[in-house]
Amino acid sequence: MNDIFRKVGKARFLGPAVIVVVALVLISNLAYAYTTSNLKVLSIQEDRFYNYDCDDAEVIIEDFEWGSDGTSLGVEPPLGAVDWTVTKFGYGTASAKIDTSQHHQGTRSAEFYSNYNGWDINAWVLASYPEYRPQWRRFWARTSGVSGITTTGWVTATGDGQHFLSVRVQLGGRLQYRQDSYWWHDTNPVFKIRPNRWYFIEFRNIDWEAATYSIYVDGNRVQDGVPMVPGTDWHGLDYNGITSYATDDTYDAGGGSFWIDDIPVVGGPPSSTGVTCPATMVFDTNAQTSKVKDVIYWGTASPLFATTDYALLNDGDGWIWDGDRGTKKAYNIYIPEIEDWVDVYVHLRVYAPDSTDYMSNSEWGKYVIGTTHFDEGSILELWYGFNEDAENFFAGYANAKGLTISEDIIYFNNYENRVELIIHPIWGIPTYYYWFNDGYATVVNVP
Amino acid sequence: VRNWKTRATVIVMIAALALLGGVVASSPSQGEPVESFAPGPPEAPVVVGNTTGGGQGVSDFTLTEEEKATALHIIESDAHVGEIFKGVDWHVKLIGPITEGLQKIGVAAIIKFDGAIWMEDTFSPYYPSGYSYVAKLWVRNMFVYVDLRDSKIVGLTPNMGRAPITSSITSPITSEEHAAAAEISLGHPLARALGENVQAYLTAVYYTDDYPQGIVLFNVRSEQGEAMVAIDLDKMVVVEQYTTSVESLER
Repeated sequence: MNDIFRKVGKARFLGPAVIVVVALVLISNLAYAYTTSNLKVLSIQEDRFYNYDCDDAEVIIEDFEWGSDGTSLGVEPPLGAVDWTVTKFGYGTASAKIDTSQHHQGTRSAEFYSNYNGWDINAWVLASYPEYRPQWRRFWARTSGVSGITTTGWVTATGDGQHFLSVRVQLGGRLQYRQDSYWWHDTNPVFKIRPNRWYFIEFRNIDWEAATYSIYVDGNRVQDGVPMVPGTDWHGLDYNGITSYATDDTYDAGGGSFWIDDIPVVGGPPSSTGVTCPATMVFDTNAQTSKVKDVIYWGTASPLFATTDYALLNDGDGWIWDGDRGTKKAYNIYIPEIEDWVDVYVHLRVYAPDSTDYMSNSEWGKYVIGTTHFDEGSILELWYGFNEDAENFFAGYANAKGLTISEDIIYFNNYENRVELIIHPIWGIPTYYYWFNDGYATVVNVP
Repeated sequence: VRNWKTRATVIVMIAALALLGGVVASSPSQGEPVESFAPGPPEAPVVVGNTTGGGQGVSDFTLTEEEKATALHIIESDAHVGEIFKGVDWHVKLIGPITEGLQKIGVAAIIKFDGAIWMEDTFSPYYPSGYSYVAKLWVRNMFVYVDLRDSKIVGLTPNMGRAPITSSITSPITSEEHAAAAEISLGHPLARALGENVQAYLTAVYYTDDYPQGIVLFNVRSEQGEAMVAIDLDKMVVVEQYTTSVESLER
C-alpha cells in the first residue's frame, strides 16, 4: 500500500504532526458539509445506528417475497423457513394471502382481508419460531383506507407460551393494546393510525418476569408498562410465535384489508446487548452500494465466512431494511490496541434499500451506510470487532483507490469501548466481540 | 451555520487534543501502568439525526483500579498461564471490561510477547461453555479473559502469528506429513502466483471436531506477497474454505 494508506490507517499513532494534519483536514471539510441531517436511526440507545449481529444468520426477515400463494408464505432460502399456517375462519371471501399491491419493501406483503359483518370473522396466519422469551418483537403494518370500512388488524405475539402481547387498529384508526382477556385499551395519549401508511410497530422493553412491555410506533414510545395477557392458547398460538389477522367486529360488512411485512422473526433486541456492528462509514455524494463494492470488492472467502447481516435505517422516508454479506479479505494488519501485527479478515458491509441501492438527502447526496470490523484470522474466527481500526483501514483503502475521505467527521453517538461476550449465531458458542468505536463515522466521497 | 462551524471547530480541536493525549498515553513501556481501554466517550456536540429520546446512549463499563489490579494478579498467579508463559517475556498491553448484556462480568487483557513464541496447548477461549480445542502454533500476542465474579481465568485465545524464518522448534507433525503438506501448499495456485522463491512456513496446526487429525496452516510467501494454505492432515488435501491470499500492509 502507498504512503497515504498508511497515514490514514495509522494516523493516531504516528505522532503529533500527523494528528495536527488530520485535524486541519477535518476542519476544512466541516466547513462545507455535514451540518445536519434528517437521518433517523432506531435504537433504544437513541441515535445509534442499529445493526444486527455481525456474521449472523440469526435474523430471518419474513418479507413475504417468497412463496407462491396464500398457503405458502415463506422467507428467502437458504436462511430457513417460517412455518406460516394460513387459516380462514370466516365467510364470504375473507382471506389471508400474499399481496403484490401493497408492500413495505420489495414487491409483496401479507394481506388479511375480511368482508363479513360479525364477530370473529377472520383471516389469519400463524408463525412459530424458536426464540424463547425474546426482548423484542417488531413488524410493519398498514390498514386499508376504504371509506366506511372498519376492518381491524390484529397482531399478537408470544414468547413463553404463557403470555401474549397484542395490538390492533380499531375503529377510527386508533392503536390499541389488550391487557386482559377481554378489553382493549387506547394508548395514552391516543395514537391515531392513518390508513394507507406503513407503520413500524414494536414491542420493546419486554420483561417476562414482570409480564410487561412497551409499545413503540415508528421509533417513538406510545405506551409503557403494558401488562401482558396471561394465557396458554390464543387461536392456536400455543407456544411461541406471531399471528396476525383481519376481522370485522363492527357489523358494517367489512371489506377492508390489513397488511404486515418485514418481520424479523429471530433476532436480538435493539439494545447494547444486541448491537454488534456500529455504523462507522458513510459513502456519500453519488454513492451506491454497487459503486462502493466496485471500489472495495474482494467477494467473500466462503458463505461460512461472511453471512448476511442486517441494518435498519430511516432518512425520513420510512424504515429501511437491508441485508448484506459484505466484502471480506484476509490481511496481516497492525492493530494499535494490540500494538502488533495480526492475521485478520477485514470485513465491510454496506446498506441501502434494494429498490434504489442508495439513500439520499440534501447534504450527503446519494449515500450508503457502512459497518466495519475485523474477524480473527485463523480457521476458528475466535473473536471479531475492532470496528474503529477497521474503519481506518477501509477509509485508507478507499483513499488509496483515489477517493476523498474525511475521517471521523460525523458523530453517530455509537461510542463503545469494551469486550462483549455474545453467543455466536452460527456456532452457538460464546464469542468475544472487541467492540471499539469512537462514535464518529468516516465519510468517503464517491463521485 | 456559523455558530455550528465555530462549535465544530472547537470540538474538532478538542478531539485532536484527545487524540494527541491518546498518542502519548499509548506509548508502551515495560514497567509502567497497564493502559486501559480508551478513557471515555468523545465529546458529542453534533448529534446527527432525530433522536427518539434524550441521553447519549453511551455505556460506562470502566474498570476500577482495584478490578484491574485483581485481574492482573489473577493472570500473574495462574498456574496454567505461568506454564504457557514460562521462559518468555510478556507484557500486558491493554486491559478492559468484559460485558455480558449490560453487566460487567470480567476483564480482558491483551498480552504481547517479545517476538514469536511456539505454543502447544489445549485452549478454552470461550467462557463459560467449556469448549476447547488443541492448537500448536506461533504466537506473538494473545487474549486472556478473567472472570471477576469467580476470580479466575476463563479463557485464553492465542492469535496465530508469523513463524520466524529460522527456528529450532520441532515440527508438530511428522516429517513425512510436513514435507507432503508443504509440497501441496506450494503447489496451490495462490502459491504459484507468488512467483519465484516461494517458501512455506508452518504457522499453526488446529485439532477441532471437524479436523480431529489436524488441519495445518502454511504461510506461503515470497517477495511478491503471501497466502495462507490450509491442509487437512487426514486426507492430505487443501481445504479451500480456509485458503486465501493474504494482503499485508507495508511495515
